[in-house]
Parts: sequence; structure tokens; C-alpha cells
Amino acid sequence: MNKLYNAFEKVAPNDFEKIEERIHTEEMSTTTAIEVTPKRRNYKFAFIASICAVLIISSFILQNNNTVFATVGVDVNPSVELNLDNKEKVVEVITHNKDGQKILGDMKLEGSHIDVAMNALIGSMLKEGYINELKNSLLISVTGENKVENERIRKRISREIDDLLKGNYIDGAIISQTLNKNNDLEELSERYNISIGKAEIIQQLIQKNKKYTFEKLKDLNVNELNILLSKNEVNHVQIDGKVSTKKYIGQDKVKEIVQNDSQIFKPKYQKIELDYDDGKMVYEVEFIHDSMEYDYELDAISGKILKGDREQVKSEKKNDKKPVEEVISKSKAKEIAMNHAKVKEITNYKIEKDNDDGVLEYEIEFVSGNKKYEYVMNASNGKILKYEIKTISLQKITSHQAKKIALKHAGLLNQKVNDLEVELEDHYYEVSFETKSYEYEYKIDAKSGKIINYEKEKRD
Amino acid sequence: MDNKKIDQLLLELFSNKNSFREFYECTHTHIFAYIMSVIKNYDNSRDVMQEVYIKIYQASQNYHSMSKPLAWIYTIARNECYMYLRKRVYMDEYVDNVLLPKQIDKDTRMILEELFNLLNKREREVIIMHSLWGFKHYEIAKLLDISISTSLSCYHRGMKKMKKEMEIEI
Repeated sequence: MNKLYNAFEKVAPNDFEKIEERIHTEEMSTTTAIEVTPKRRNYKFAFIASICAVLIISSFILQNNNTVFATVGVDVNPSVELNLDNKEKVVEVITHNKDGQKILGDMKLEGSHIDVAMNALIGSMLKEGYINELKNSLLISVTGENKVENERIRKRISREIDDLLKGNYIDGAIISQTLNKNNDLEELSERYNISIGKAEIIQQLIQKNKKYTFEKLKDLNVNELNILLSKNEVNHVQIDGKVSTKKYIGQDKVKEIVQNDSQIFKPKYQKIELDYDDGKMVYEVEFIHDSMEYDYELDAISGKILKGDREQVKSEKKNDKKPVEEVISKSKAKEIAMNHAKVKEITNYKIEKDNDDGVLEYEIEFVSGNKKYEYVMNASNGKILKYEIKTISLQKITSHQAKKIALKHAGLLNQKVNDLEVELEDHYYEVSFETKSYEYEYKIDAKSGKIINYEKEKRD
Repeated sequence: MDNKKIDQLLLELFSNKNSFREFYECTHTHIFAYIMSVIKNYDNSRDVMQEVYIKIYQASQNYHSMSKPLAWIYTIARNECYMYLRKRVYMDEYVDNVLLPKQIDKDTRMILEELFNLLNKREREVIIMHSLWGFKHYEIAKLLDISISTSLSCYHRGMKKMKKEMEIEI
């Protein structure tokens, strides 16, 4: 069989350099997703026969032979995929499951413009009850090679859908995002059988709130996710319109129930919020009365009190007590954080001591693999107060190199500058410093070391 | 291909440029042969191969050591091929000919042309997976979702056609 191998060995191209170059320069590929919420049955309340749908639009632009062409996936928690040509006309429709087929019915979308196809699909979703007053959220995610194109598609489609819904007297809440397709997301979406757009949203939520897990959130519909997005202030996504909470009992009812239970008339509420806990949507209520702290959790649909705690408020002595001087060492703090993050090798390590209202804290930052970790730790006992893990693109240059690049560009390489700070953001370093008369700010690409942009401002 | 070595290279691939190069050197003939067996056209196969290596590079971030990394590589290559085939339906320019580069020698050209002209896709696929990649027939059956006997018969039929035509022992 060596002959066959030899034959292929002779013809197999040597494109390694090309591949390497493409890995460096290639932008992430693009997909657009629109999600509405999935069908749910056996609700205790008949009027909530409501539903949700997911719609994904993905566009891949191929650069082969100068042919431009796109795939639009419409994922209606069922899922439908639309392949588009370069004129944004649908060339193929693929349904991935039953709900998708139901939405599609016997419509022939091939040959029609994406806007027309979208119109038909949304119309069908409305008709079949996948979108209604109670469930008005849609999720649109766009991924792809051409970021400008993605953004354009995302904007247009969300506007389009909003108009469509308004025409049906529904105020849609449209979440839209452009996202970088990556393997983690693909794996998650495959493992939990949800769309990539939804996987991304859930990941964002988990990062914001460590109470959440993928397992817990995967079955939420887009409407519920949308509520969590607003609550947790996920700012990575664009939210247009207001999410429907009509399904839930509402704040007035919540107040009434809490008042009856606590026998406190019109307390000063500190918090009344919708959240997701133990598999259901709940209202979280907090208030303080007569130096007692009340903490309620109510089932958002039935209004049943799930939790009602009261606790003596710790008397806050404001006698400016000096912070305890006994603190753990920096290296110990680093060790705790690294153990927590379960990583062994880190780069871009930064630690700062901070005094937050009399509590000494360490702020720790480091990078390992493609994750950036940020911790806030109580410096007296080493307890982790807050942490955040962000996925970043892999950086090829170190913060030290980034600093050098910036200083060199500013012509200040061997001179003294003040307030020098290097911060790693998603895919670039932000380097800032000052001289006597100027303030500088640089953005340095973490992969190539190229200066993305810089600002030089005269100091006042 | 040596599974152990490939496994090691894949583990280092994302962080070590040299590992990626070495990985390319020792796999690209196999991968290219497989891609061509599916895609047929030389230039298109070359494009697909680039995609495959980019995918492997990206996926290697999450690679965990396994005893048969070849199946992992194979799956990536196959997915890329089929993704390409799905898309090419919309490309009028698609060429279903092998169209080998001009500069290759006569013997090589002959072997490859026979392979593509005489055998059907499944036969080619099985022969390349078995003879070049070193997959066992039960592995091929699993990967291609066919029965072991289909894999075996495709292989023997394909080999017979090649030998008969060329009157040489390949």
C-alpha cells in the first residue's frame, strides 16, 4: 500500500505557512440567532398556555472562488436553518426538529428574500402561539467572518421583527448579540441540545452570578432568560423593548402578600426583583424594619411564600475602627485564588491591597489559558468575596511587552512616567500612563502586539 | 500514524508552534488523501485541508488525551468535507474532476487517476481509512455507520479494481 501513500505524499500540498497565517488573521466566523421561547405544557394556569421559540440566523460568508454566500439558521427552539446566497435570498431551508417543522408548515421559503422569509416565520410563530403577550422575548445572535456584515444583519433583523410584532400588537423584547463562535459554546450547545445563542446567554449569566449553573438555566425559555439578563445587568447583549412579566403576579401583589405575612404596613423595600432559583421564577424581596432585616422569596406565579427570613441587623458601629492589621500575605492570597481557580500556571498576575469601608481587601487578577480571573478577597481571613472569570482570546505578548510597545511608541521608553497601568481586556492590553504634561492611553493587540489605537491628551 | 505521538502533539499543539508544524508534517498526507477521497477536486481539497487544520488548531485547546486521537482528527476532517459538500451545491463553479496539478510525475498521476476513476467514493474512503490511516474494519464500520461486512467488501472490491486495472501490486 506504500504506493498509494507515496502518491498522496507527492501531491499533498504544503500549506502550513498559509494555515498559520490564516489562524492569525482570520476573524471569527459569524452566525445570527434569533430565539423565542419553547413550547411548554401542563401549566397549572390555563391562561398561560404560552410558549417560546428560538430562531437562529447564521451567515457564513465563503470566500471561495469569490462566491459570497450565507447560511441563516432559524432556530425555533425547534430549529430551522436558512441558507442564503449573496443577495440574501433563501436557497435552502432545513428544519432540525418537530417544532421547526410545525412553524415551517408547507411554506416554501426558497427563493424569497430573507426579510420575506422572516416575515413568514414570525407570522407562523404568532399564529401557532410561540410568541404572545406573555412570552414576548426573542434572541438574535449573529456570528460570522464579517463583523460589519453581522452587525448589519443583526440590526436589520431585530428592527424588522420588532415592527412585525408591533403590527400584531405585541411589544417584543428583542435580545440581540453578535458572538464569536467558539468550541466551548459549540460543545455546550451540543451537550445540552440548545442553540449556540442561548448557550452564550447562559454563559454570560453564569459569569455574572455564580448562583447559576448551566444545568439550572438550560431549560429556561428566552423570556425567562431575558428577565435574568436585565436583573444581572449583562451588558454584552442589546435588549430592545421590555420583557413581559405579565405571566407573574406583579409587584403590587407581592407587596400585599409580604405585608400580610410580616404584619408590617408599607415597609421601605430595598429590593423586589424577579430571579430564578431552585427551578422556578421567584420574587426576591428585602426590607428593613425596626432594625430587623426581612428577606422573602415568593413563587412568581402562585405567590406562595417559599422563604421568609428575619434577622437582627448587625449594629453598624461607625467609630472608624482601624482595620485589623493582621492580614494574610500576598503570596498566600495568590495561592488561595489560584486554588480556587484550579490553575497552576498563570500570567499577567496583579495584586493590590485596598481598603473598602474599613475592610482590607486584596484585588487579584491573573490569566491562565484563555481565561482571565479577577478576585476580591478579604485580606484578614482570605475569604473570597467576589470573583469573575472571563474568556479572552489567547494573548501572544505579555503585559510587559505591551507596556514596552506603548512606551516606545510614545518615545518615553527610558523616561519616567507616572500612574502606569496595564490592563488586559478581551483581546487587547490597555496601557495608560502620564507624564508631566500629557496623558496617554494605548490599546495594544494581545496577539500581534500591534497598536490598535492610542490617545494622547494634554493634562489640565 | 502513531497514535501515541499524535496524542502528545495534539496536547501541545495550541501552545507550541513547533508541535503544530510537526503535527502538520506527519498528518497532512493522510488528511489530504482522505479529503480528496471525498471531495475529489484537487484545488478544492486543498482549501478544505486548510479549514481542517484551522479547526484542529482551535479544537486542540479543549483536547484531552485519548488513546485513539486519529478518530478525533478523522471526525473533524469528515465534518469539514461534508460542510463543504453541502455548500458547494450553491456554487456553480464546482468542478467534479480531480484536476491534479500539472507538475506531478506520470506514475503518481496514474495511480491517483485510477483511484478516482475506477472506484466509487465509499470504496476510496474505506481504502484510505484502512490502508493509510490504519483504522481497523470495525472502527471504519463505526465511523462511517456501515456494517463491518460492508467495510470489508468495499475494501476488497476497491482493491481488486485497482490491481486488475494496473496489473501491479499496490
